[in-house]
Amino acid sequence: MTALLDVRALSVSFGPGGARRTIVDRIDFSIGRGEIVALVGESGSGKSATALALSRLNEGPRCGYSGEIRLSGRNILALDHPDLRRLRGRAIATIFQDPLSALNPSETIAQQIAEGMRAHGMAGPDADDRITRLLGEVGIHDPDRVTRAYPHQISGGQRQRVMIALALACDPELLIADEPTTALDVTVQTQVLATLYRAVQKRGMSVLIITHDMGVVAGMADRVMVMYGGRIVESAPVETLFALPRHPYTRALLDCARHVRDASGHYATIPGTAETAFALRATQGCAFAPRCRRARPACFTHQPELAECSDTGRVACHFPLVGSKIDG
Amino acid sequence: MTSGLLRRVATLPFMLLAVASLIFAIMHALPGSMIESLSAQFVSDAQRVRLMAGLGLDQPLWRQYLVYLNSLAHFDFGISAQTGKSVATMIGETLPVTMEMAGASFVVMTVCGLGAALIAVHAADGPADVAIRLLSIILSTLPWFWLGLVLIMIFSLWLGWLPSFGRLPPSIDYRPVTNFVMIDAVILGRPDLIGPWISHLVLPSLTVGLTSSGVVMRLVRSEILATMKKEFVLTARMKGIGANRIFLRHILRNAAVGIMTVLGAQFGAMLGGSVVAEVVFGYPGIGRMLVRAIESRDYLTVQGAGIAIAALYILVNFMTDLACLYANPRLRDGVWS
Repeated sequence: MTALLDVRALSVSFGPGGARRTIVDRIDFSIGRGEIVALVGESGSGKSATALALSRLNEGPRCGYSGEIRLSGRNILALDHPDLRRLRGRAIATIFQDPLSALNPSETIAQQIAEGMRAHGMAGPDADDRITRLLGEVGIHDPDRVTRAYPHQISGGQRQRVMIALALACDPELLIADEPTTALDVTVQTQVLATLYRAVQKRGMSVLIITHDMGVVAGMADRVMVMYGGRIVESAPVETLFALPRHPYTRALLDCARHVRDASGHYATIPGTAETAFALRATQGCAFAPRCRRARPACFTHQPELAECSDTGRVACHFPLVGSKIDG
Repeated sequence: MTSGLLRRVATLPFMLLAVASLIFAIMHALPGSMIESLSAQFVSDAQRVRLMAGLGLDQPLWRQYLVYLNSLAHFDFGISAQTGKSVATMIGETLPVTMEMAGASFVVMTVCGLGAALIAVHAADGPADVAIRLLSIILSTLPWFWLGLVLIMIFSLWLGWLPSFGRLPPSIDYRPVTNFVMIDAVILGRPDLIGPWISHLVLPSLTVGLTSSGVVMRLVRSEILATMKKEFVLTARMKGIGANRIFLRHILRNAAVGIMTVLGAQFGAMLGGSVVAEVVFGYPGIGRMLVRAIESRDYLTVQGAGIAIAALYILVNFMTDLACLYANPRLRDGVWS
């Protein structure tokens, strides 16, 4: 599998001049053609910043990048603005979390989808038909009405389906889905996710799906990357990661998701919050160390690098778990 | 669209009724009475009673109120005690003058306010932005009459470029048809009216327009900056849309409702300003008529002018609402968020 996307030492820093904080710290990863990769982590772990950085959407006076993002060999961070504009929507498209705020309230659904197609010279005379078909494909039962509707006139689930259609409209090579089901009702989540999965499978599209929902990961992804404190701490195929998590943080996340109870009958939680990760940044150690029950002195002084731990997996931990039965 | 429109139209009569009633109440609550202002001290009590009966002032208040509403419905505002002319005629002569000036001031306010706001947004937090924010504070705190006097000093007295008094020079023979100079110039085939009319309009409309534009600058700037942070702007960038198109179709389009609301509300403030400006510039509009009527305790003229100004304000608000309905599809469906 040749990699479509290859990210090397990507850092994203954010904040006004003097008070810049690194929120994504020298991460490396790649996504193969047709591969569906999930990026999981808590709020504040840097996963959304990573997603936006891939098409430079959070770039600005308060946010800067370093490193390399190569899409089919071209470094996105080196593109000029016209080229960047041609790339956005056409090569990389993003589905945002909250479709109500992500859609323009003053334009009809058809106008908003067509605008992207026109920007890439893909509108053509049959654009209206293609939009209607696309909406039908993403599970909208009355596409003729929805094309003429404004975002507030359709339901939340329909809006997210529209958002998916909008992202698919120009057949991007890489689809980024930033928590695509978080804003939806639980009953609708599964349906929308299934729709998304069918659509990308049919197109053989590469997908980066950002989520903190392990159910989404299990249902959709080929491979999982776990992010913590601005770094990727573990990367492995879904089955391997679920069966044999190597990083204590991954293990803790899975325990939370599975509602594992400890000896006293309490649900598993991870002590502390992700904010601790940034507090530690100054001290060079592993970002998770303050919340890790397995932490030893070395964890606070040396940052572990992401290294191969098996044929398919990589982990950034000085003392990785070796079997799923081991308890911290 | 239609239901929102109809609902809005249906409120109009009630607003007019409320305004008319309020003015009636105020006129009756004021110290003194119409009789006192009409009659000199040497009127005998018997004459006074006859006069009151003749004017219907001996009737109970509710009856006077009904008679008042009935005459308003027939555009009968009574006879001015000072000029002997019908108040309706006087309003017909002066309201168009004020509408011209308010219109010109509105153009000045909109051009300066929006222009400065766009520059400020473009240079957000840069020196131009800071300068415009400062300017907006200065403009919105300047008293109208003060700016008017300064403009007269500079452009009329020192430079001698622009006239500072009246609507048209007395040397011009102008017999109004509609009282709107622009329209009359077309009807009467008198293009020579337009030049002097505009030159007389410049200083008063600059005075009112500039002082009102301060608030517009500040509010429009923050409205646009807030809209720029909305997530649909990120979606537009994600689609690969060019920056100019994003600004027009996504940012300005959605800031439009806020901008129009600011402009409409400022128009009301501007009407108040034009009363002062008309006095300063001797402009024969309804504001100057109102001030004169107050000075000479010409009750019916004060009442009529008050109603006419309020009606104009209601009309402008109504038009603002129509524009907002047009710009925002959510308002059309009655979603007020």
